[in-house]
Amino acid sequence: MIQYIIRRLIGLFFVLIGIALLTFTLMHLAPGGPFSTERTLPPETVARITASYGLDKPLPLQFLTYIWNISHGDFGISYRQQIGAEVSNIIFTGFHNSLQLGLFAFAFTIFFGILLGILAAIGQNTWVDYSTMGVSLAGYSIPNFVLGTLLLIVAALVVNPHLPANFQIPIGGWIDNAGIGAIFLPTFVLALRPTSVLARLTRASMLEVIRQDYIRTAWAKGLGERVVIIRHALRNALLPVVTVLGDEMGNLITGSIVVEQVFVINGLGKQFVLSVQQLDYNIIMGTTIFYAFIVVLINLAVDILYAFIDPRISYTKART
Amino acid sequence: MNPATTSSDTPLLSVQHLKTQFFTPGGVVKAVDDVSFDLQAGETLGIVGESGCGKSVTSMSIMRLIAPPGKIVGGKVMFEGRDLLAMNDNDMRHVRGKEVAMIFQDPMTSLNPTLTIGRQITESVELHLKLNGRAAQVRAAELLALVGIPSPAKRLGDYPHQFSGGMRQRVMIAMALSCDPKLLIADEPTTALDVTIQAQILELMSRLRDEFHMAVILITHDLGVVAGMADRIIVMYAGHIVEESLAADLYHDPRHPYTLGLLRSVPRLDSDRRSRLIPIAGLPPDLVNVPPGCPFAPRCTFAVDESLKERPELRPVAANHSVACWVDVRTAPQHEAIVEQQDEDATPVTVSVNAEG
Amino acid sequence: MAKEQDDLIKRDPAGVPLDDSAMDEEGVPARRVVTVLPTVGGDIIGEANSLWRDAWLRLRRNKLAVAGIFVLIFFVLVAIFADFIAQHPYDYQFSATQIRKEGLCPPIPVTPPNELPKPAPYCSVRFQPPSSYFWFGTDDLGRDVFSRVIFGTRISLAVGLISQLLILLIGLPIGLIAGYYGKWVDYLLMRITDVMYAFPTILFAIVVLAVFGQSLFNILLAIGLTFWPPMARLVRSQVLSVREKEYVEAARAIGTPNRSIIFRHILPNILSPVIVSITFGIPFAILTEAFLSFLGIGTPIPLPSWGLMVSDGKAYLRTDPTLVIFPGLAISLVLFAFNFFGDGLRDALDPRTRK
Repeated sequence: MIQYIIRRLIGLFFVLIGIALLTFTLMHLAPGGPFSTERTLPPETVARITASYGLDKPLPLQFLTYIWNISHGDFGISYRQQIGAEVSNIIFTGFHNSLQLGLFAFAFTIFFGILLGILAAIGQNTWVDYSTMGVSLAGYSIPNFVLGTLLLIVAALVVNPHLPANFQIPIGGWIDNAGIGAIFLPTFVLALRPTSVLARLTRASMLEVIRQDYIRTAWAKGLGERVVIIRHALRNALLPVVTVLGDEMGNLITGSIVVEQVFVINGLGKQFVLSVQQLDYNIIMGTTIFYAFIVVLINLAVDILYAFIDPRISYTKART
Repeated sequence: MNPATTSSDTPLLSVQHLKTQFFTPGGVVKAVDDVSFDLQAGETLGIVGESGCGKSVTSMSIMRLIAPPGKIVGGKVMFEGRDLLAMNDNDMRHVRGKEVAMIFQDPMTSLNPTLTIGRQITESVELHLKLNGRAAQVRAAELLALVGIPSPAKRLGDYPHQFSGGMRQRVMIAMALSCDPKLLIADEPTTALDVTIQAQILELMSRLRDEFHMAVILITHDLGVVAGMADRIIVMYAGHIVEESLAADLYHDPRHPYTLGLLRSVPRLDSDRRSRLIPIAGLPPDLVNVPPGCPFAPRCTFAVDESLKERPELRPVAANHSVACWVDVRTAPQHEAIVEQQDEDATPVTVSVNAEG
Repeated sequence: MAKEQDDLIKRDPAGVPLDDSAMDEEGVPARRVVTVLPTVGGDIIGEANSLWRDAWLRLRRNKLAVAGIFVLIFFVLVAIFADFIAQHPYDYQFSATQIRKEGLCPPIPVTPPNELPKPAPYCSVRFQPPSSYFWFGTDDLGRDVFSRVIFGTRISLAVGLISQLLILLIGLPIGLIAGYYGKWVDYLLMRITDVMYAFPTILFAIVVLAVFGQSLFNILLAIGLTFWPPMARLVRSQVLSVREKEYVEAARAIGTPNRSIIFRHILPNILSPVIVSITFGIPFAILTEAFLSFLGIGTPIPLPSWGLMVSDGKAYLRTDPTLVIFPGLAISLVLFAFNFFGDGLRDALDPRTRK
């Protein structure tokens, strides 16, 4: 098992290098650079700034320097957004809100997704099943930015029925200004789609498992319904569900970009969109690598979790 | 509840007019139609028939494990004087696994892949015998030793995929016997196993039956499997019992054309090597639109006009021997013809065909 | 020879394979199921087409899927005939004079001679409520929302379909080659796929768009370049399982060239999961386009992308929520329809998962 984890971590390292290289190449394919829009600057000044950031060096050298630096935890500084600020600081500040949102949404997804899936499976072809699956299909089909935008105005009107016509969402940020209570709406909106995915998957998986021979064996032992469902069916039914958890968690963290935009949350996603538009190289690189790092870590964690749930999986070559 | 009254005149199990049907989109499938039989304590009953004849559905009905769209629509299942079909779910759960235990056909899929063998055995013991964790572990290890699994205490922590097919069936047997049941229902217990393993499992079951003094219902499509083990045999066809007799009588004196056909399609060690195996032609009937008359009539070489009009009732033809047929096969002309043909035919056995269809 | 004999033993005279487990899950004899298999026009369905025709029959029985198909046909027709359905161009900004003529603003009163002309009554082309002239009203720039929603159908459907084609073009060959040839080719291609797979998807699409600039074509490119790895993985895993099948072994044994093995034996047999994947990929691509446009980095203005319209309308939510509701409804409806259809198609093509 430990061998397997080490192997995966080495693979992970190369994946991250690949992602860095890809982003780096793409970025430098873009016409212009971080300073090309500032027309007021005389060319000599631009050249001087460029040189001082080392951006005049050959690209391969720039890339290797960058890799060398991030391996030491140095993500460079921002060229445009907050000039001179440490990118690692910018990322961690932004990530604070994004992570909070992502984790809340993840907890919501796991809890409600699995619960609704089980309820629908147990009550197959009853109103519980139909309503759960109907809601989940809606949650799967309505884009979260549409729902979020509409819910926002509904929520605002509930809180204050006499909102001025020119009502705007506080620019300073949703979570920061309105406190922890305000996180519910963004969480719900962000989690709706993955919750629907999970509910449908759990239901299908439960229905598949309930028909298995070993469930019949469990009934034949005289076990009660709760024990049969929880001890015998659920664990097996969750196997395929666990495999998608990694992808869904990744989607939640990156998907928050849109929700951050809707609810004006100062998260990493908002920052990323801005820095891409300004070609703020180090923020783009840093954010991408950081996100990718989290996504691959989550996937690794899920694979390890899988081994714990399914005893048939062993990552060593021992018994078969 | 009721004190167990197992005097010789009250049977341990008495199935009376059992009817189980499946309500499918294609129509109502009459899987078990008016089946009755008795089973004495300690007795072994074989139920024989081809796939879809209702033998498995009968056993599942006794355990009340019929899931929708299936439904038990009539009859009684008296176990020690109590009707299992009239019990509430809670009482029924105390019967399942404790009084009546069951083992299934495919040991590969009948064990939960994500629980250890130990857990799967101890959960019954904890539930029915109220043993606590430690005692349950000890009991589970004893059971594994009993069914012949080496170093049982160590293997309690193993998962099903770490056992071979035969070993898993032993585990299934251990699980079934864990609470000392009075009746064991074995639904095709050897079908999924290699021939050599089959013999071992059957041997084990016979030994444990005697040790535990339990009654056994052995369900199979293989007349060879029941031959050595059953005291009495029921032959089922299309949801009905067509013949019922003591095991020895059935082999020496079959009275139903279907039984006759089954026996002739199985190779026998004691028969002339040159005798030919004769398969039963045709397919079992559609159980949705059962035509009137004997369900076997369309495939039967003995069929008379009566066979197509009315279904024959099961009636006694000798001591402990009943049959549902309009014809007495011993006196029918076809019988002689077949026997003669069999003798004249000198072609060596080329194809062996199992009775199973 | 020995195998043939084995087969003979396993069959009964009627040629039906003997199988003890030939009971379906309810314990109903399997043969019963055989008798209800669909026949078309009284004939037993031919072998080659039966899979697809069976799937079609199953699909037709699924009411939600059929509803989805009808909605999709409706939207396709709308996209094709957008020019005839929309009353106005999607980017035309109306003037006060024009809408006065339509009676949407009070007319300028005629000034009697000798009097100073009175100021014209207030008339704004912005945020017109729905009327017979502007079915869905006008937006903040005085453009007809109905026409924009109608023309938006074209963008969404085009993005959905073409991007899937692109994904197929990239993912299918990579998966096929990796799966079929194996060894180092597989290793190399799969490591590239791994890198792309680990790339946070939306982020990559955003970077691509930032690099190549905002245009419809670049959106297609961004979606295509971002979402091919799952397709490549799917195809590869399918090829790996099909490659070991007897009919492929047999084809290889008689010296069939690789190309015809791939095209004649492997491709047809991995088609149904690929089709299902594409069916679900279309709504996902539509959603992604709307996503990117909502963020302001997707479809360039003034093109009527639904995502862009929601984004624009967001600022005026309090006064005129219809600016969000109509495009939001349109996109939800299309996604609904595709997902219903996809669900039905998956169940129809793979009856094993049918519930």
